[in-house]
Amino acid sequence: MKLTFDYDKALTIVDGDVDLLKELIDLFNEQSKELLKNIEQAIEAGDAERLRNAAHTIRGALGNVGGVAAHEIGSELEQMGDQGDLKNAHEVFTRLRTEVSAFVNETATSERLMMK
Amino acid sequence: MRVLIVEDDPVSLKLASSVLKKHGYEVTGADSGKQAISHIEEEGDVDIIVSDIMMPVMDGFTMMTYLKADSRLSRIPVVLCTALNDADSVKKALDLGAVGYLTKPINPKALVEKVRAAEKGIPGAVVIVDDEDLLRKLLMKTLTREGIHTLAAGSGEKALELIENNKIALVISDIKMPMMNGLELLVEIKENDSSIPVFLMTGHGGEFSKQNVLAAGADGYITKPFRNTEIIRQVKPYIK
Repeated sequence: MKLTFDYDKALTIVDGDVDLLKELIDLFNEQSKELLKNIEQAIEAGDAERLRNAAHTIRGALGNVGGVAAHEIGSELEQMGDQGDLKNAHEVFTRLRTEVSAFVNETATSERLMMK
Repeated sequence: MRVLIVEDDPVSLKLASSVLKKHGYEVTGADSGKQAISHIEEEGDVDIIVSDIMMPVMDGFTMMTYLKADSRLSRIPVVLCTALNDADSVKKALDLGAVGYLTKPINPKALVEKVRAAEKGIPGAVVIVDDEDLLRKLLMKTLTREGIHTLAAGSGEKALELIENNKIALVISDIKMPMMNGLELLVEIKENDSSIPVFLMTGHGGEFSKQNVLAAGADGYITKPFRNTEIIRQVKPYIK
């Protein structure tokens, strides 16, 4: 099981700059609804290429903030888009949305982020 | 140094721009290859591009192909960002002329290193200083067509400002100008950085001879009206 929020990994990505990490997480949390909406719309429209791009985008964003569990689910969606096979996309999207909101909650209450 | 970051994911964009700003770079963002190209064509003020590959509207490869096909834009070094272990993309990036690549998620140290390396490889610009619009434009056109990056200054003061803020290969200045003349500009440039080569140009049969100008410390001398081929022949050796 991958972590919802991998603080150590996220901190490595920003070379230990906690302030920058906090800014990135704030930005991600702010934009996450929009990023998820793009994916949902692509699935509803049955547009595989758009799904691939939208999933790639959120995956990139999650990779920068240590959202490893959601990152992995994003990869699944990106692959589905890439292969043009959307039959399970909705189910996977639901898991992604749950995992992203878990990430938002966990980072909002993370003591390690608040202490600095 | 002005860096354009092309990235559709707002978090990666923020990460890259924070890091580069902290290292003294001027940063602009674009969310697709298309937006990047409009920015460059409209503002023209980009020294280095750091770009994602997979983006909606126009991906990084398409953007690079476009830039490399345009002799005015092909000089801009591009660093592409690829997913981890994507050897095909890395190969394609380098084949298209990328000066380097980064794997995502972007590591700040690696980003700064790649941008610095790209900066070192940038050929310097030729600054053309002339208060006469027409001549300045003519000279710029002549050099730009050869793929040489030019910067225009309508006065010596403006030229000094450009020299301070850009990597310079050569300065070509008219002598007769209001306010600061070409000889004063020459002295000023050489005082600050004697390694910057300066050419002076004068109208035919003017009061300054080639000997005068070279004795004053200029590295070259151009007589107006100039011949395109002659100018190019003189300038080329200074473009690294």
